[in-house]
Amino acid sequence: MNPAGQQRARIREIVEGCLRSAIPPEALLPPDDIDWIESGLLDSMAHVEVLICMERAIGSPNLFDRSGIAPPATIQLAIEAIEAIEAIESLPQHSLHSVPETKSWGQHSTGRAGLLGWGAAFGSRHLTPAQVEREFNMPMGDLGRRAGLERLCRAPGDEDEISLAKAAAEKALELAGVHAQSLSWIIGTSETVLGFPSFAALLHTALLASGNCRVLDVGGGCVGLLNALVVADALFADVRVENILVVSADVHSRVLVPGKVPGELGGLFGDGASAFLFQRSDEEAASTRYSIRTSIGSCLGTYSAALKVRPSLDAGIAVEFDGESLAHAVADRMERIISDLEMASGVPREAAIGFALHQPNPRLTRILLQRARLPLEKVPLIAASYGNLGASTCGAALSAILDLHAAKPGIIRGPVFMAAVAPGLLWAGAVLA
Amino acid sequence: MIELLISEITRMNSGSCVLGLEARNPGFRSLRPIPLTSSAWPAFPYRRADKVAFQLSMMPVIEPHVEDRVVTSHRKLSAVPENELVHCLKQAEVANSIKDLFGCQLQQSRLGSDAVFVNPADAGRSICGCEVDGINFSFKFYPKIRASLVLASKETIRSLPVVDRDLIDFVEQLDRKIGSPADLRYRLERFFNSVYKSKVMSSPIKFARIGLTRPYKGDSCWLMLDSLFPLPRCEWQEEFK
Repeated sequence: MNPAGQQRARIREIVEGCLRSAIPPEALLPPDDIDWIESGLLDSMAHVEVLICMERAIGSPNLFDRSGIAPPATIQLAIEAIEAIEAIESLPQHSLHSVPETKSWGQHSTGRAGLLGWGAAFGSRHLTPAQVEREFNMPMGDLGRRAGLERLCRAPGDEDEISLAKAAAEKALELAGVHAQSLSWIIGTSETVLGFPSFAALLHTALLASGNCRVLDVGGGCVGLLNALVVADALFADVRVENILVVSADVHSRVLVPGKVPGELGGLFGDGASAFLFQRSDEEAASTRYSIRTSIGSCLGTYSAALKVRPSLDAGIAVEFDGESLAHAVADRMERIISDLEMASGVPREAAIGFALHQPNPRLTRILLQRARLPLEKVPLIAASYGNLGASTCGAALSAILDLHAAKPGIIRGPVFMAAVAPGLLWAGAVLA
Repeated sequence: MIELLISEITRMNSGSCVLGLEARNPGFRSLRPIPLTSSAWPAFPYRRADKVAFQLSMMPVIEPHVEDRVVTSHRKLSAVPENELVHCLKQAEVANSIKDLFGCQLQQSRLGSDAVFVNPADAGRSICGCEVDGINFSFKFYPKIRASLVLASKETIRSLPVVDRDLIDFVEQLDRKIGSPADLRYRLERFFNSVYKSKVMSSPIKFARIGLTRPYKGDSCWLMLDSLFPLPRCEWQEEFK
């Protein structure tokens, strides 16, 4: 087949694949010139869904926006429309699972920075699910048998966000062989440090970082670490930046306490921290280090009411928590993040060597693994062993994956997928490769 | 005969779908008069805010479209101003949060768009009103129009197909007026997200009614923007550039 024929076959595969996903499984694909709507094959809603599916498959979210033609409603017209646009705009020729070179879908790193060090730290007090259930006066078995919790790590009185963050940061710095005095930036994220001085400022002091090291706190709750990684990557656009330390730390046990929040929420959370040292990479070093290849994210306000946590006027915590709605929304979105990352990065999930996932609770994580077809051995189950660590869940999982695989030669170690959601419903994902 | 205050006239492929308010004690409830011989009105002879007397009969309904009634005869009685219609709508099915719209959770499109649907078996009704805290329009797939709403609860519903007949008529009038130039989509979107939006958001009667499509493939009823008040006015077209 000549290149033009291959191109047409590739586009046909995308058009027919998207159409097939919107029609009943038993329905046959219509002839090329049959109008999907007039023939009753699709309703008006499904028509738009199919067009959006094609845009996503092509890797160009505004494909039909730019075409200046009516939205196509036959296989023939859809193929011609995509061919015409690709011809005009010289879109890269990639299939569903090849690497898109366009930057229209997701954000793609220039690979200026590589991941050189990492570490995690956990509260040193270990509790059984039964102990937590008693604390929260919950029915026995709710956290253990039903939610799948095996152990919870809590920070005792002499540990806090800063001490855990410092422990994780020192591991990352030591592994990287970088001194805290050499840091250009410290980027911190914590959902439990609510006062001032801020988390990153306190950490700067604790690490005795230099007077040239700048400090930034990044929000986002459980997606805070992913936000911080993307910010760090972008800061390397400044050629003076050499080393950036990204740190997360969350001590939930001082905030989500019995009497203030229900056990189904507070009983799932543990205390922990994670840290990552990024260093500017030259071409040779870049090939041996993980860096952020692609990142995606946004906010899905449709589910903003499923979880609301805020300080209340009586110095307590006001919690609105619809566990069932939240579980559905989180499972759907986490699965979507994995699919979107595949499309944005061109990396199929089967190629990943590990998945660093946010884990609201162990049971939900296992449901997600089944739905998204993720092998258990590639997913460190942080929430089962330590509890939900907020933003640090993803970080602890990433750290565990890197411990296992980062020393392997680049050619066999494979990419890492990261995905997280947070109240809002904020969501974010990244592929490290 | 049952008196209905016509609240929705929505554009469907084969004609119009109509909803009206029946006075109850207290408040109102929505009923969907359906002609005897077809599933939609090929040409509905009345307008929004008309009071129409219908001879209605019960018919086998498929949930969540529990408002369906079959019509054997009808005649106009009178009409009320738009603000009175909205006043009545606020005493009919209303919700302040997404979960209360249809009594169930919304689900995201499985094909990747922002559109949302409900499982037909979970929804308790197929129409509900809500206060509007923000709105945006998309003409990306014009002539299909999509809207995104922010509810009073600060939750968002994205990519709602606009089926409000008055709003679609307004857009088509604009389209004809300017002769479908190449940048029509862009110009419509700019106009609707500035002038039109500002008219709606500054109105004391801003209010939306969200409906559900008939079940698609048996397992999904998509959410639609059935009505957006205030209704468009001809003079707003003069501000289109």
